[in-house]
Amino acid sequence: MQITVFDQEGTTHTIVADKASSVMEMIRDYGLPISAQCGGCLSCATCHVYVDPSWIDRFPVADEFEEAMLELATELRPESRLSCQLKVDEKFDGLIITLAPGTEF
Amino acid sequence: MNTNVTTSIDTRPFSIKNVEDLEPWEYYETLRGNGPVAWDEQMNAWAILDFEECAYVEMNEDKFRHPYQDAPQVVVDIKGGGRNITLLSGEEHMRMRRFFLKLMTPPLVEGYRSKHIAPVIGLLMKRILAKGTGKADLTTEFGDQIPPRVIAALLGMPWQDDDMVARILHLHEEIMEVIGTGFASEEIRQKGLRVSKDINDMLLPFIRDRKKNPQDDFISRVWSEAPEFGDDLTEEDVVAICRELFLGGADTTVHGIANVLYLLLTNDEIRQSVEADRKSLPAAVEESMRLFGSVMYRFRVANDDCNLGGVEVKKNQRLILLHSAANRDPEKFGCPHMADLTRRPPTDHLAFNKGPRACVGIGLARAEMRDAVSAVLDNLPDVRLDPSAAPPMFKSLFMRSWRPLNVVFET
Repeated sequence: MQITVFDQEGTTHTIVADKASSVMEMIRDYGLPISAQCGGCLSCATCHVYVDPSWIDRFPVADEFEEAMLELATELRPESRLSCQLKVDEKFDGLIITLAPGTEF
Repeated sequence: MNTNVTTSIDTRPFSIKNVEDLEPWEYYETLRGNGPVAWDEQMNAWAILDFEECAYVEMNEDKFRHPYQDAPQVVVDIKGGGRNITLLSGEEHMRMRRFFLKLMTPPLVEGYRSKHIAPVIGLLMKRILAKGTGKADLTTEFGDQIPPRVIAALLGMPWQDDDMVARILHLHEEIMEVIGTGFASEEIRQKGLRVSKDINDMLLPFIRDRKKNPQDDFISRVWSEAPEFGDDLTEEDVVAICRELFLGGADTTVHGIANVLYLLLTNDEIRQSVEADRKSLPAAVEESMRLFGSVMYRFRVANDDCNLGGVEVKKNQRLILLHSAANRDPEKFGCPHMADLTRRPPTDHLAFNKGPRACVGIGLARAEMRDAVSAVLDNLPDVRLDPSAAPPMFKSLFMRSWRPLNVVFET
C-alpha cells in the first residue's frame, strides 16, 4: 500500500506501508512530524488527519470512541479521522491525506 | 567527568536497586544479554528491558493492569482520593482522560506558553542575570523552578510565591519517592500519608475559593467541567482530580528540563545543531527524553498467566517496565547510547508512556523543555559547565536527572 501525505507545511510525501499496520504507523515511521502519542489505541488525538474527500467514504465510519477523541482535535472537519484507525489494506492503495494542525510534536 | 558509572561486574542477584545512585545503562546492557525479562527479587517483580515488550504491555491494559486498579485504601489516600485519574479504569478513566486532554489541547498549550511559561522563565532568568556572577546552577535556580510555577499558575495559585513553590517541589519529590518504591513498607506508606495530607492542605484553600469564585484556571474548570459528576462533584473529588494535575505538572518535567540542558551542555554536536537551527530543538528534547527520561520505570500487573520475552509470568505478578533500559534497546534504536537528531521517528520512545495512560501533559512538558533551553541559549552567552564546580551526576532511582548543572557564562 502506498499513500500520499501532505504535511503541515504543505510538502508532499509518498509513503509505502512496509511493516506498518495503520496509516498512523506509516506516517510516524516515515518520520513526519506527528506525535501519535498513545501509540494507536484511541487515547489521544495526536494522529489527526484529513482524508481526501474522494477517499473518505471508502473507510468504515468512525466509531463512538474515535468520535469522542476527535472532539479534542484541532480544526475538526467532516473529513477528519484519527490515522491510527485507518488500517493498512491494499484496497486503500493511493490514499491521499493531509496532516492536521496540532499533531506536530 | 561522570564518576558514578558502574565500573565492576555486579555479582549480586539482579535488582534495579543495585544501580540506585549509579548510571544504570551498562548494568542493563550486561543483563540484556540474558534475555529481555529478568526477575528482581528486591522489587518482587519481573523487570522488562526491551522496547517492544514494554510497549505491548502498556498498550494492552486488558491484559496488564495498572497496580492502582486494586490499590488498598492507604494507596488511594496517598494518591489524594479515588477520583485521581490514575486510580480510575475503563470508560471512567477514558472520560477523565478526555477531560485532562481538553485542558491541554495544542492551541491552549500555545496560549499557556505566552501567558504562563514565558513570565516564569523571564523571572528566573532575570534573577540569574541580576546576580552578576556569571555563574548559576541551572537545576535549582532555573529548571527546577519552572514546572512547579507553571502548574501553580495554571491551577490559579500564586506562582511568584517562592516559599510555596519550594514546598510544592519538595512535597512532590517526596511523594514520587514513595510511589517509586511501590508503597513497599509501612514506614513508607505512613510517610506517603503525611506528604499527601500536606499537598491536600496546600490545594484546599484554592479549591474552596474557586467553588465560590470561579476564574480562568484549572481548578475552576475541574469544578465546572469534570466529567460525569456534575452537581454531585464533591470537594474530595476535586482534590483527587487536581492532585494528579499538580503532580504531573510539578515534578516530572523538572527532570526533563535538567536532562535536556545536560545534553546541550555536554554534547558539542547537538549543541551546535540547535544553535545553528532552532528547528532541531524538538528533536534534541526527544533524544534527551529517550536517553535519560524522567521516570525510570512503571509498574503493571499481569491479569493472567502469560509469556513475556520467553519468561512465564504468573497471574497477578508485578512487572517493572524499565523504560530507562527499553529506550536504549538496540533492537529498536541504532547506536542506542548516542544522541542523534536525525533519528526517525523522533517521538517513538517510552519516556511519556504509550497506551491509554500515555502522558496527558506532553504538550505542556515539551513546551517547558524547549522554552527553557531557548532561554538559556539566548540569555547566557557561551554558557558551559563550570569545570571547577561539582559535576552533574545521574543519581536516585525512580525519578532521575543530571544534577547539579553548575554553569559559567559571559557577563
